Amino acid sequence: MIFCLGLASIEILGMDLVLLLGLLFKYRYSRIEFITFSFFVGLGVISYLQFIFYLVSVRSNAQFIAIVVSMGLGLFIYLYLKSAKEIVTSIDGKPLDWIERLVILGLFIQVFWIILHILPMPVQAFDSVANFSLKAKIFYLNEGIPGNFFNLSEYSVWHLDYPLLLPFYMTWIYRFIGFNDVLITKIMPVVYIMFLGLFYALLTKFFSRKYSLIAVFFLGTIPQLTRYAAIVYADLVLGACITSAFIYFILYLRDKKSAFLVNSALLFGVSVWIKNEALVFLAVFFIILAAKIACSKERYILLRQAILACLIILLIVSPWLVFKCHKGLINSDINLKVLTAGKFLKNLRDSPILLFELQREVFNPKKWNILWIIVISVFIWKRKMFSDGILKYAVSFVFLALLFYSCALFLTTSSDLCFHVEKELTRFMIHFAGIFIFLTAYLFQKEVFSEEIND
Amino acid sequence: MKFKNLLVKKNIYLLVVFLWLILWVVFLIKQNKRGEYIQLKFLYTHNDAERKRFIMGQDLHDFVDYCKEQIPAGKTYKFVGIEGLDMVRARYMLWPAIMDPFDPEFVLLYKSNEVVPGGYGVLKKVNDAEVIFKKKGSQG
Repeated sequence: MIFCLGLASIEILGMDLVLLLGLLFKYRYSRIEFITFSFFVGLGVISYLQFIFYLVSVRSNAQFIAIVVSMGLGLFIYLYLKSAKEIVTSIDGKPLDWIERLVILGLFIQVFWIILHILPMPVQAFDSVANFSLKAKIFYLNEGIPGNFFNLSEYSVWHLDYPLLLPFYMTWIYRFIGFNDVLITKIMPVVYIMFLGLFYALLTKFFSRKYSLIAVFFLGTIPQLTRYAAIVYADLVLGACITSAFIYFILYLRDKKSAFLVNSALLFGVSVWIKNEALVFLAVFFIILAAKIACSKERYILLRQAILACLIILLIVSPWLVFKCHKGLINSDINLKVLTAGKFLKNLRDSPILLFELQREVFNPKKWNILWIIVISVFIWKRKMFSDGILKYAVSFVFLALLFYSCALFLTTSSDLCFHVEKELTRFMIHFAGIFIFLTAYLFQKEVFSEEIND
Repeated sequence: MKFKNLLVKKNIYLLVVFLWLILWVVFLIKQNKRGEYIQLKFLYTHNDAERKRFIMGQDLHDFVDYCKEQIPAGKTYKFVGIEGLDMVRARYMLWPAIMDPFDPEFVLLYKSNEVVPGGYGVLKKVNDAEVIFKKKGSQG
């Protein structure tokens, strides 16, 4: 119950910002979109607050949380009473057909299965204990980030350069439940459910309810994704934010509504607080946005919207990135200072390992079912559509992100490439899974709809 | 001809969905790791403290728990004989004591034949294989 209060407080803080944005940009959210989008925004808000309070040396203890949540609740009540009817629309009231019911039942079984596995499980996976949970324990016991935290050695706490959203999320929940590293693991199924909810809400802006539900089912039942929903790793959270930010961006490219770009910028900004890899997506986002402006006739309107998006991102990411540069926090795996030309060339020569590992992942139904086989087949089959409308931007986004990501991760690593690829590739694919399912559904939709017409 | 093509396509789609469902169910039920259900059964039938002991390994958990009582907060330590996943779990448990492999105030020897460097004396001994050493002359 108290655990749920902790989650509700994150929701409320997220809803405050989402309602404000809805009012400012006259955007109407569906109920599912409102709840799920607010959750991810809320995660960003609590991380931002906890970090800012560290910077100004204020302890983030129970009183601090109580004050913040009370203010958030007051604002939420005011905004909700004032504007909920204008901003939040009710869900589609049509009764579900048997396929939709079956899909929802399947998703319920999957969620139940994940909860069944995680319910008695303490934090135990390697990176979870070595990184996120240890940091959360430190922040909880110290009532915030300790003053000397970023001066600790890599032996005491790993990866001090890692963004802190997940430890902050855990610390926030600990403030409600007390230090309980068995109960805390339940935060991950919540992320999983919110991800599926937001993915569904965004897909319904492109496709029919049934088609969207089927796509959500494909995403939700990927074995590797469900596995990451049961361990406290940041990859699922990053995958959720990146996928949703990407789809909002595609909606913006289609409709040119400021609200979509703002939502996308917000989620891309939050992603930078989750994992360093988000910077790759952010760079590609700027490139594609610039390309869109350059190719558009309404250049000045788009430029104004783009400046707004850049300011939002700057506001979100700057405290962490400036602090990181100021402190000189460096990644132990990807460190350009340690990397030599010889090492770079060796990594380049060893890059076939990447292809070998990639095919091992792609053709591994235990991890991915037949997802990548479907994705590759549809991409080859529908390749002529790549130059159509928004698809050229969407596909460019994905391929640029893949290219940058591969270069950043696999060619510049100063540690052993083989070890690095084996460890990182599956996570890398989790970050992209949602985006690829969306694109596959998009490419495939004409096929389904033309058949429905023929039927 | 068009109708025939459509029928073939539809069958392919159905086959893909069917294959996905079959694989989903198989990997949902099939144990991911060896002994996963046995582990789950144990976890469901014990309390939180026992769950943590089980996950970490009872011997190691008890040793680290004992070390936690002996090492004051903020003091430094290093492990001898604990590596990999066991090491990160033990380090997690021992915080707010801080791991420092270079100049620790405590050395925690666990089932290892490695020789503890000079300058350390035995502080507590669980048994011959599980010993806590303390730097001679250090406070706390």
